[in-house]
Amino acid sequence: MTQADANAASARPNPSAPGIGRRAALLSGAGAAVAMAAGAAVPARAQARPPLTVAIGTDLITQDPCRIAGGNDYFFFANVFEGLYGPDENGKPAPLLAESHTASPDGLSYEFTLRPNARFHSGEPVTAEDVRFSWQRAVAPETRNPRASVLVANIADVEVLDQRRCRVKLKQRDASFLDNCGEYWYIISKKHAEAGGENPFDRQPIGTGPFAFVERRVRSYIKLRGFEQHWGRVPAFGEVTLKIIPDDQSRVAQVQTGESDIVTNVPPVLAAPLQRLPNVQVVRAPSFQNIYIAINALNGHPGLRRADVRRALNMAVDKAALLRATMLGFAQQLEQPCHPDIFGCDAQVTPYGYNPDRARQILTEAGFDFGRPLKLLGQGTGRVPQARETLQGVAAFLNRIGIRTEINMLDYGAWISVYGARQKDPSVDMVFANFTDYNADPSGRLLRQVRTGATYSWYSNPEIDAMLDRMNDFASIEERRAFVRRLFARLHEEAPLIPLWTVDSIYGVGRGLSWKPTPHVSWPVLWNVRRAS
Amino acid sequence: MARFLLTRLGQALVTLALLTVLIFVLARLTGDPTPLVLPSEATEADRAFFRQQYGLDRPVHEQYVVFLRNVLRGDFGISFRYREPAFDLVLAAIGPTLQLAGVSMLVAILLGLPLGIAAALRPGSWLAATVRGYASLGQAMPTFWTGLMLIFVFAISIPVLPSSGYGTAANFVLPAVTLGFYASASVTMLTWANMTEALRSDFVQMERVLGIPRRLIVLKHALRNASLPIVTYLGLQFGLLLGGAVVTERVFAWPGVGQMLVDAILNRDYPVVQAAVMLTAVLVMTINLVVDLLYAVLDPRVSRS
Repeated sequence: MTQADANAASARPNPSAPGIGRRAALLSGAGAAVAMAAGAAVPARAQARPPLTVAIGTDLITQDPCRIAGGNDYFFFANVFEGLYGPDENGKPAPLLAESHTASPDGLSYEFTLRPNARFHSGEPVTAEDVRFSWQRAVAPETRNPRASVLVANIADVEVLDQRRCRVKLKQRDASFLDNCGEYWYIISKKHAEAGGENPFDRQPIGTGPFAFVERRVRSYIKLRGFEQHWGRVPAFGEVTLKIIPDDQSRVAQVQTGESDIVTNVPPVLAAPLQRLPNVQVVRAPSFQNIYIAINALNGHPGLRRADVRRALNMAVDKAALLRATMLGFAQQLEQPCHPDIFGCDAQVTPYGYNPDRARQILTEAGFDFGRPLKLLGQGTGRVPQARETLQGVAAFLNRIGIRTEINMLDYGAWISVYGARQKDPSVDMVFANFTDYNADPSGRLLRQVRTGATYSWYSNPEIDAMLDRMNDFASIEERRAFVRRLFARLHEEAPLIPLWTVDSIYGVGRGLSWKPTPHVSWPVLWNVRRAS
Repeated sequence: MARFLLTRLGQALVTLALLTVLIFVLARLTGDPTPLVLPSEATEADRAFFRQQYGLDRPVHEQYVVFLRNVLRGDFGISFRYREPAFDLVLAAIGPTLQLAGVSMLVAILLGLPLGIAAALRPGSWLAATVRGYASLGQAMPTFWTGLMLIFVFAISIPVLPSSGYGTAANFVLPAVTLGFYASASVTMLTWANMTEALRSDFVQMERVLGIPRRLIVLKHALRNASLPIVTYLGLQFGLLLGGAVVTERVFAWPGVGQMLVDAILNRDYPVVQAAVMLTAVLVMTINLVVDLLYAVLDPRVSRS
């Protein structure tokens, strides 16, 4: 598929006349202000657009795209804001605000042409000047963007070529640049940011996404409205209410009663009975939320510093059985430390498989000290589905080959303090862990998960470090793919962790709707929800 | 009466002063908030700036002095998580909590008082046995289970009420019944026991001999004498509901202060923890003061002593 084909595929024609739903605009002063700013007439069909109610589990932490603190906030940003690039309906990177781009042969600069019909929710067109400003604000020290280090800090300059064209110059070659444009560099309105005072996005988050912000009540709901002037992803719904229902049972009840049209984060144990209800369909999509057991190869049990011992631990755990028992099948089993759809994670490696006898034999030959128990650290609260049961299952499989285990479950805050500590705790041998890839590029995770001294790395290997440092320094995609395959193959041999599975995103959806959730993202992207025909 | 009030107020102030120390220290014992507030992509410089911005890099005693000075001005700081004034966040959550606690107490009183009185008036009857069963059930059933069962029956099986949420009168019914049912069990038993005792007392016997109507004896004289422990219990229960209705708030997605406090503790959002505990404490003390005053009204001997 050519660049033009990709653009054509991702940009659906906007059949509606420009306008903003009257009902949504009347809901709040802020919404009304946006509607007035847009200065557009209200088409009759906008009023007929039905409302959509979605029950979600957690509230938003920030409305400012330069202050995103974690993956939990993406349910908002993925619907209200956009980058130059971002995931398409199949989770693949596709041009969003950019119509097309060209990359220089050295991979150090990208020239983007913006879509002619890309607009902010205020009605203003998106210009190259906005792109430049979005970068400047994202890296400005006073913004305190906690995630600037991933992408925007590597931008040397954004040159405005004309109203719709700009050139992004990088300090260093970064093969993950386009992939990360979706989650690490949202385009914002210069006019709004400069006119909006100290925290313009806290008051009124104006983006370019398929949904515009209307109002919010902290810990209760967020109201959005379908943005009819969107360049292509025009939602079928007018007012969208995101209700915050923290309790899993109560959230699932929302779709059973018809109070909500969609519920997110359905735990596997509740998904199975939900499937039997006549008025609800359970929709699932693969995600990049990786569940694994990190092995302390630094300063824990001395045996864990040996790669053959770590490989034996991989053989000791029957992942398929554990997945069936704890996740009830709502996950994708992993053999490598990544989902097969991650870039370069299609290396041909021999899976370890479940082989407890061979595992025991390797450990014995390696002189593993069975007398010293392995201390396992787990998450005790419900951030990750079946976290407690999964670690208990892993411990049971280790017990079967003669390894004694001691489990310590901590609440998330205490757990992440230990897991992400600069100095790793020598009294911890293995950690139940989860890490979500925001897109198909593996570098963000690997650099934090296995590089020496990284936040979540319990492993050190200069050879792997050198490969990680090199992995983004490619101009040719195919050369990089071959390199990343070699890296994953080496990581498979080194076994710094026991990869278990990626969790499926599970949604309860009313029968009256038709929706294909975007695969490989762990948050609902709602623009393609339609009424079932 | 004035001296009584002043004594109570003085005690409340001392308690609040001690509470500032306790909550300040306990909040910090939960650990460093940085890993929970900043993403894993944050650099060391980002983390250092965060600590500096919120004064977390200063010695603890200095942090306490700043905290105390700000609290006296009504400033509890900015929430680490929401980046909004902590007091405003808590104030927005205390309204729904007070409303729910109030309606729940009303349910508890409307159910508990008549049932307790009725059981005391007919000892050994089928009515008394039924009331005993009701009270036992109310005390034995945990609120999260009652809540989920009510959702199952009245929102899913017979869809007449919303399963969760806040904002309309209908939203009050299930959570208020959940909490009210639980509290009504104790109110019933307390009323029953104290009314039984009051009805056996000499003054009630004398009133009967004097031919005073039974309704007047029960509702005016016996109930007034039996009411002191019930009022005490209701005061305590109201205080508990202010900060302790966490499970019910969670099940019904009620945006109250209990759930907010638990979230703040789990996320190490010190300013919100401090503001929520202090505000709840002030409310509980106010309720206790009101209960003390009610004592004095119900039994003038209290203020005289």
